[in-house]
Amino acid sequence: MQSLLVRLKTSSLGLLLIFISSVSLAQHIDLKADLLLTDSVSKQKIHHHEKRPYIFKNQRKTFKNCNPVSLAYGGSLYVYQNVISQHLSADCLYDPSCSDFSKQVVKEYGLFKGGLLSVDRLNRCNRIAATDLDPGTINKKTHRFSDSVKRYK
Amino acid sequence: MPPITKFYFSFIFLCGIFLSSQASSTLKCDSLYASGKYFEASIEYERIIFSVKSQAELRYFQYKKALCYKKLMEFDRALNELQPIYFTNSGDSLFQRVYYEQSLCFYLNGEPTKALWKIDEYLRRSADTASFHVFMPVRLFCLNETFQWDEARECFMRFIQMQNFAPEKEAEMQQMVNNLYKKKNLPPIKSIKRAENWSRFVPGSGQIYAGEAGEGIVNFLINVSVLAFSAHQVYNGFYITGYLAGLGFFNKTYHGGIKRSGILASQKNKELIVNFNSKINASIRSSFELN
Repeated sequence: MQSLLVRLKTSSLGLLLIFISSVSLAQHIDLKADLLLTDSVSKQKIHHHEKRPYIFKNQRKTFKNCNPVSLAYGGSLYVYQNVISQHLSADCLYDPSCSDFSKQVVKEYGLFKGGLLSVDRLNRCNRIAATDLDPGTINKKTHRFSDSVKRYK
Repeated sequence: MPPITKFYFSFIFLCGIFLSSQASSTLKCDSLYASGKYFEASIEYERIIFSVKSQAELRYFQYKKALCYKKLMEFDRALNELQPIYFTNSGDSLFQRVYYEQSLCFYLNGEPTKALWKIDEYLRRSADTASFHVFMPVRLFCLNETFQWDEARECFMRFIQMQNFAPEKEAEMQQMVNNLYKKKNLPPIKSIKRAENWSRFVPGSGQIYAGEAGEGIVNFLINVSVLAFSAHQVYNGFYITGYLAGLGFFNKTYHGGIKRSGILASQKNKELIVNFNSKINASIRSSFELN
């Protein structure tokens, strides 16, 4: 009888603790944790001047990415993205931008088909084409029309 | 059977009923939240939101769902949950917490003016002046971000007064705040308008003003070379290439440079304010009793 009473007491106490902890979890404002969160989020928002990577970075050297055409294409795209692009007033309509799209599409389909798709994208990146785009595809964060490489598979 | 045993049996029985009803799922959500599975917890809260009947419960679970999104660093989604919560009674136990989370999420979402607006709304609606202190750090950071230095200093002073420090400690803290907000110690904020105007008159100079000398020089060289190309073409009689291609491209680089200098000045300001706020944040965490 005594052991039953002890067991009952322990289970009741356990249940009581669960309720108390759930209530206290809901009511507490943890100011210290929020200050830490504020600090880390603010620091993440600082724009560090990170270079946009070379298209064939960290890839094994093969003929596909080491031939003169690929090198010239990759190099000019690198210079455009890191040196020239920021000085132009033009803004791309799409997300990813035309140069990023070109990089991704060349990686996916190779230089020939990727190049053709890039030319097609550049032809569609103008104010006349913008009137024909679906507003439902606007990315809320970037405020640009979503047009990823996946759509071309 | 002794009455104490009867009491324990009834207690466990009632708990069993409670756990098997809606409360069990509440406990499940809370345990998911407590174990750090915020995404799963948000889904569970969403499920409960559809089944609850009273407004008070709805408010509570929307608040909890918003906390999950906050933990997932999705502050705009957290705000979407918090914004529809409306209180007719400012004495509600959730009133302070919802306003606090709204202001914090607005701040974390990069909207300090809206955060200030929420805090002011709370200060006007709430009669509980003792609870103001939790809003003070967020208010202080927002005032700094919007360059309202005098109000920020005043807010920091009030926050110190609310802490009930010993007189010597309070005087020391007030001295620290006065030093922090002296003109020479404030972050040297760059004027976006001035940066743009510099670039308007001498391409590239706005970038140099914003602290990016290399970028400014590159911008200047690009503008000069495009203009030289245009002049060379016109001089040689290639008027279409000179005027259309040359000046068309110059239009892009010239206005791009103006826009870029504004962006760089704004980024520089952001960086300076983040470092300034970070210093204040660290001093609050180390010196204040935060409960």
